[in-house]
Amino acid sequence: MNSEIQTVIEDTFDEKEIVRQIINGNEDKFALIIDKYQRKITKLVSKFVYDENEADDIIQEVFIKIYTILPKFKFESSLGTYIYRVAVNHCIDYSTKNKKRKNKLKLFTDYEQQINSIPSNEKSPEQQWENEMIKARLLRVVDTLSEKQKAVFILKYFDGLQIKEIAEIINLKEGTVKTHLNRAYVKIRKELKEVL
Amino acid sequence: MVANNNLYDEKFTQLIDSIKNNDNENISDERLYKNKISILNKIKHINEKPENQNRLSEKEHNVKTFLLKSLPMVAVFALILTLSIVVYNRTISSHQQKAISLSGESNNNTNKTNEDVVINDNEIETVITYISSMNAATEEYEDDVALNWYENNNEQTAVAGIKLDNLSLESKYDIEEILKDVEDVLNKQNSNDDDKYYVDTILSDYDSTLTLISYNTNN
Repeated sequence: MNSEIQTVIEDTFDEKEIVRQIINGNEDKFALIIDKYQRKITKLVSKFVYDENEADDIIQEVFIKIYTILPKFKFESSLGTYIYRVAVNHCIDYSTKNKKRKNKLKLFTDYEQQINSIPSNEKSPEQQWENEMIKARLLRVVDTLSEKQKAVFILKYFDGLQIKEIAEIINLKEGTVKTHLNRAYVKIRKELKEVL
Repeated sequence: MVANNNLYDEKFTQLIDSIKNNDNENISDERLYKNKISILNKIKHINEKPENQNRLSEKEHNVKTFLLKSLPMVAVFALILTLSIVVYNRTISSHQQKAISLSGESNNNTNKTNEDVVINDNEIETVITYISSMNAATEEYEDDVALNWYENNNEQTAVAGIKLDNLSLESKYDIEEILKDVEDVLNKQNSNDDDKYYVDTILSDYDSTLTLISYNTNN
């Protein structure tokens, strides 16, 4: 979507009114919700699931789930936080169920796919290759974190959310979020300090 | 050391930024559009199902019908709930007595007998050191997590209590990690013998106190 149109939508979006219309049967209005949040949710889900097809399935499931539970949404938090919460919980459930059966070789291939699509820049091929290997290593370490550590790390570093927002999304106390974040950071640092 | 840390942080930030930029380039408008159409089609399909048709217009009617039909069930449920609360409170009192006996003199109330629980001073020290180090590590968040320990005077048992203020169900994962870490430390420290050490909780977290107990396979 054109970024100007996206901005206009975000500025003029009366979420309460749109949600009310959707609940009253105007399902087409749900497209506005998708337009506003889909890119953010896609980025988030892609950090949990590296295969694009699997990620797309999850993204669709998340939005359908949001649609079906929308009548229960009481605006006690913002709609964005609510959508993030549904998405993060869905990703955590999915990762937990699939972690054991996930083949490590496949996982590596997924990382490789993701990093191979990076456009070339002014760096030499050797430097680029080295950088991409470091990125792949970081993503692999992130994948070994516990599901909550992973979720907290992704929301903090890749989505740039504040501790308070993360606590609200994952439904944890701020102190617990900080503890998860600290442990995740220490693990990652231990793995990456040789190469960074 | 500080310079190294700063350098690491700087490179780490660059790495994260690089991955974020990569995200923006990887998510095409075409992909977003396809997903959007697919979501909207699935929603249409959901709404076309006979059981979902007119569900919104009939919502009020359904609520009334449901309330009328379920009134007797609600009354029965309330009665059961009241009885359950009474039974639960009695169970808690019983557990609290167990906790007192564990931290004091005997261990008769647990499923494991004293003979099952074999642990020496070094191992007590290990558990305590671990928990103390956890305490130091979480000092910054001491308002949320306060870790304390105590040891049993009984020579054959060792228990370490972790007082977790504001302990809630979502902390469950952390507790499992703590148990596993303590087990790893004990097994590493005793790698010369054939015993396999396990660490388990013997009290639930209802009173914000988690008690760890270590035992081995030798018995």
